Amino acid sequence: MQPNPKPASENVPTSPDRGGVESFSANHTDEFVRLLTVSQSSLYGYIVSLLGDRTAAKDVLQEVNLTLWRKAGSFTPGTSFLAWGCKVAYFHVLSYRRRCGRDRLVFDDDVLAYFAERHALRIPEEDRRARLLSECLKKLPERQRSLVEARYLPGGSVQRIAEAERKQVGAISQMLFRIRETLMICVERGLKTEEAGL
Amino acid sequence: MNEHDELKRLMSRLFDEERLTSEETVRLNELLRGDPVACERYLDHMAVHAQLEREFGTVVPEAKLVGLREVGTRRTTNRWARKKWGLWLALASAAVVVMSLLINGTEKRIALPSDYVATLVEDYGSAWRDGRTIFHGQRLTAGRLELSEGRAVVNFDAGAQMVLIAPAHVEIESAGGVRLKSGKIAVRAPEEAFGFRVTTADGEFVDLGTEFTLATGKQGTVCNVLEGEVQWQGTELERGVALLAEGEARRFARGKVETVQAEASRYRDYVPRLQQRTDHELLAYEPFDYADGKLQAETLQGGFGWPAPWRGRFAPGDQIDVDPQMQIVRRGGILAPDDFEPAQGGSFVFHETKQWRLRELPTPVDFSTEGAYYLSFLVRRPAEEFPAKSKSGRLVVTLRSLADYWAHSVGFAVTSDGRPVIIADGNNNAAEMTVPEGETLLVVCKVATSTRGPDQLFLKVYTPGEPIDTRDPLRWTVTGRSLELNSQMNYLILGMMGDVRWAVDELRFGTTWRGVVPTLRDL
Repeated sequence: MQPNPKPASENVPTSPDRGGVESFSANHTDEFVRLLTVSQSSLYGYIVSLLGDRTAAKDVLQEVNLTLWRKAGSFTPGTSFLAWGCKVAYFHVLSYRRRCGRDRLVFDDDVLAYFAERHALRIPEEDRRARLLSECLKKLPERQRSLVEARYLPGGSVQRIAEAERKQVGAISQMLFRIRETLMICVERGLKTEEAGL
Repeated sequence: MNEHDELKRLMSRLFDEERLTSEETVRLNELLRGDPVACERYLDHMAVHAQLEREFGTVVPEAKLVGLREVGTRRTTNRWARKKWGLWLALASAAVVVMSLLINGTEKRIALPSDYVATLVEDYGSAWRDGRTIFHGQRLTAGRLELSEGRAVVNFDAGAQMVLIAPAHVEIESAGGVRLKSGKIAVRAPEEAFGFRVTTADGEFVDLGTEFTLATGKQGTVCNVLEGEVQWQGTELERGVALLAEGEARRFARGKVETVQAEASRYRDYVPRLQQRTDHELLAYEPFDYADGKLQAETLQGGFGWPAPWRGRFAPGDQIDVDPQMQIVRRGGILAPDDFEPAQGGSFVFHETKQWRLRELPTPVDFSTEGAYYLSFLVRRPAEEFPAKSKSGRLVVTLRSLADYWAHSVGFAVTSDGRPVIIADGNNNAAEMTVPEGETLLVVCKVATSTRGPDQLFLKVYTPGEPIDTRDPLRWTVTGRSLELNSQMNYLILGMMGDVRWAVDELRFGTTWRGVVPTLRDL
């Protein structure tokens, strides 16, 4: 396995803060807020993939948002906001891991480092993947679509679905896994189709 | 089951059941480590999973982030050094073997995943709804806390502290967040707890290194910033963001924000006064108040609470402890911290290169029950050593069972390179600090036993001049890995191997922090 020789963490801005968003050009403040807002989904996806823990990812995302806001002056307009955000998020993930103790961590340090590197390479595709997923969801059969909604709408869980359908939790998990696999294949196919210009 | 199916099963458990056992966590890492195909598969699935969460709004409301103003400057540092992928590939197989041995060979020594996120550290006149009993020092998992009378103080593992003011109902969500369902809380979140989050029906309140109170009910949520700043972020339905500065108080209700009269109080006003300790909190005390010189261990039966005098490690005939003596030094050496109860009598100084002295505890540390046990003592590493020796000396202060001496041990040690360590039955954790020579340190060890989850050990080391906490500290020097033990440890062991004349004094064993850390200073 050859990891990306330039890890995601290496280019994190190390210069001192320059006063948060106020030092960021007033003309750019609205743009910064827009970028921060539209990046929430991708930042969450990045953090949760490294931590494997939804609650922890939510906590860390809060910290990342505040840091990005404080360090707004360090962001260079025209460069990738998401790449910058992921680098900041990576430090916060490491900080979280130091704080919470090893026994609450899902991944080893080195598995985590590899994920971070690989995830960095996926950033340019994030928007396309999200758009394609929405399209793929619409193509799902009604039964599968309902199951996804029951699982992912607020308050949903495999336990609740299992109780409602009188099935084993494991059986519901397997069905969901297959649906995600279907969606994943659909997204990959969409990416390839777009790249081929078809 | 082949590896492909195994990875699928584990990912499914992680995504949908959100819980892996320690064995499953180890196995998942084994399957991913060094296998780029497996790693890509995980990332692909996780990407879809996370996108679905966002698509259906399970997790992240994309709040309109407007109205923020400058929130101060803060530098972040990162001392993390990235290990090389290739290096651990070479070590991976050895690690797997070690992990397998730990898991399959000695079940009792497995470091378990822990769901603990907080600790109850103080209460005053408190009564919990549904008759629940929570003792001082008890570790808490995510879940409901409903206080019907009094006040209670909870330390979160991420570094924030919360005072519950009855009647109050909260749901602890994580080490860094709590949901306030009704009633009032006060929160103190120092810099290291930056980002602590309280959620109410009226939005999320995120600390920016601060002290604040929150009261929520039918009339909405009132946030009163006592110190620092708090960021409010509205709900999915009532979006918005506001920043509250020190001395500001606002009511948030159904998307409306209004300024209200601020409370003229401080966080410490909400913290219950430190109570006088009761007899059961300090179970045994040894001030080493004996005559100067080398004395036979079995003649030393001072202090209180101990059922028997000191003794050597083994019965007479053992090569090491044929004639166990203990050297008592009454002058010089150990100095109690300024805001600590003055040291009495002399101190015990190791006078041989291998020495173990044992004393029976007044009550065993029973790992098969719910409990918290604390051990405190003063310790000094003198500059002088035994003559003509290398500079090494391993000090141990541990608990063991006399009936099964070698089975398990927990406690404290200083390694030969001077680092304090939690001894946790093989799952040891060292501090980053080094014990200075010639200085007296206060050491506090906590053993939290549980029948509902793993057991845990904690270690706090105070250097001279460092303020001493009056309750369980927000930050421990070392937090040990979680363990599953069932034994009863009934002996305290002071041991040394090496050539350093370690001195030990003011040994206390009890069931609360305040029981073994006698300082009258409150917050």
